[in-house]
Amino acid sequence: MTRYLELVCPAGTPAALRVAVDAGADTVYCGFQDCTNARNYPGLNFTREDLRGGIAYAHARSCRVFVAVNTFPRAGDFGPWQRAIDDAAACGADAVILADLGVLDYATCRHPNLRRHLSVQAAAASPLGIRFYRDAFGISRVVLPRVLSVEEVAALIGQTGVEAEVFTFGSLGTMVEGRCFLSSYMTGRSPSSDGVCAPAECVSYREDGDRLVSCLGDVMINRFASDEPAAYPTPCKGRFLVHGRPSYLFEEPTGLNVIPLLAELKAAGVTALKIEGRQRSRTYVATVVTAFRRVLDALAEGASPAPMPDVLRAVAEGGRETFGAYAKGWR
Amino acid sequence: MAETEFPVLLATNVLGLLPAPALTRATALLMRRFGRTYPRLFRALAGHEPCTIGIEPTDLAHRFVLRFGGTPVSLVPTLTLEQPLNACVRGRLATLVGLLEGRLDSDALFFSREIVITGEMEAIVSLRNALDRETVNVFQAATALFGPVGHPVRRVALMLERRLAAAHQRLTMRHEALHAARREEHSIATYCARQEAELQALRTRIAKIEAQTRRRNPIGAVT
Ligand code: SF4
Repeated sequence: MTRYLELVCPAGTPAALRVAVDAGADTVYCGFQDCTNARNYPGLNFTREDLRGGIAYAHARSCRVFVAVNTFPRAGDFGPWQRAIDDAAACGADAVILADLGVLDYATCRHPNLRRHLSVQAAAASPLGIRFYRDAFGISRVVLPRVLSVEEVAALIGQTGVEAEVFTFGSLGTMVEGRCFLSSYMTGRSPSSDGVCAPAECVSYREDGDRLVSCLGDVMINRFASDEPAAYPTPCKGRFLVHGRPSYLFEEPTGLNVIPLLAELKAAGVTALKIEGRQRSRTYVATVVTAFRRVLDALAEGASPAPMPDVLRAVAEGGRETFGAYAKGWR
Repeated sequence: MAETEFPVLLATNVLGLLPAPALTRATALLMRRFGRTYPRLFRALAGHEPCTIGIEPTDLAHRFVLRFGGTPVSLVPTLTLEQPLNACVRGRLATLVGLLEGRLDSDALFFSREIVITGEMEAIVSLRNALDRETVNVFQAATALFGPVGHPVRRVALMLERRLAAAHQRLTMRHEALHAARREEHSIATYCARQEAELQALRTRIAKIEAQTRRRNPIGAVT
């Protein structure tokens, strides 16, 4: 069967990697157990040995593995990022996903034959920006920020000639990736350098009568009534008091799901679809990858897209779905 | 039912009947078995900061305290969760076992409020991620405690579970039928009451018409 679009799936653990491969991922992306990637949660991610085993498992089943090294090194502490690039190359990764100029330069000079993809963390959303990364560091693919409409995605691809990977399912951040400081202000740890927004050690929940209260550090982020879906205390999805009234100031807790837009994205020239969620369970990975595989196979056979499976809504953040910026009329 | 599934009805009944000392002993044995079957999981938990998590199955009288980090991993049944806890997880036994075995997505259950998690999240996230790396099978581990007769015990347990499930289904159907009959009874009574009220209104109207006719024609009789 000809491939409709490449399906790039998350894996936070070797078990999730195997589940993703078995469920039909074309590519799996993962990261090391440190601050060099943007999902640095306790107990998550891969040791070097895990990665070698994961790559062997995936390659034996014609699936590729990308390694995210997509945070920004702290001044004077470049070692972890260098080691991450060297080890990803040594383990046989098919590509590294990078954001920082220094890391990109290091990978280009040391491992010229290792494919380099530009991470969403680089927030490259203009033809000038993407062309710069292509010409300076030979990037083969750009992961586009989640702030673009389908028309803007099409225009960017046309003007840059670089493969584009776009997010199709999972959590959304409302700010420009790599440049959000909300969580840093509240917790003292930076999503861009420490690789974690709303770090687990700062998150707490408590019951207040029949309400559930979520906090990040000392800041109350939300209070859910008993009949409301709960959500993580991600600062951009908090309910804050505005003129005395609680409201979602930036974004409501919803999950991205663009299955109905897949044909439009293909027509726009997109190469690959990314599923967010390395921090989620292997059951989430199995559910989402299976659903997307089915839809993509149907589309490849020329069948009309299957109705959006309800099962995806159940695993979406806040139990609700959105097209995000892809279909924002006001843009 | 596949053998990998957990016989939840049987477990709920058995756990409900077990006296506290027997349950404590059984849980300790189960944890020892887990330690032997999933050494990587126990190593990961041992490397954590010391932490105490309360587990509250909503359909059981017992609560459990899970300790890991620093000390050997332990799970101790208790009647109340009064000691200081880092975090607490509440949900139905089947859901909690599904989480332990990695068959259910903890985030989805949390969003939909099927489980309630309170307290500090670091320990919970570490535990979830450590469990997600393994393919834990609680039923297998529990029946393995019976040694050479583990396999027959598994078969008997699954047979009992099927019987309990069938009995449970019959009970649910009877319960529904009883409710339906009550609803029906209730609707017949409402219908009769409405008919009676209408009849009464008609009688009043006829009486008024008769009175009017008598007033207009006081000599003639109303036929
Ligand atoms: S607060 Fe929201 S936008 Fe900012 S880093 Fe976190 S998820 Fe991204």
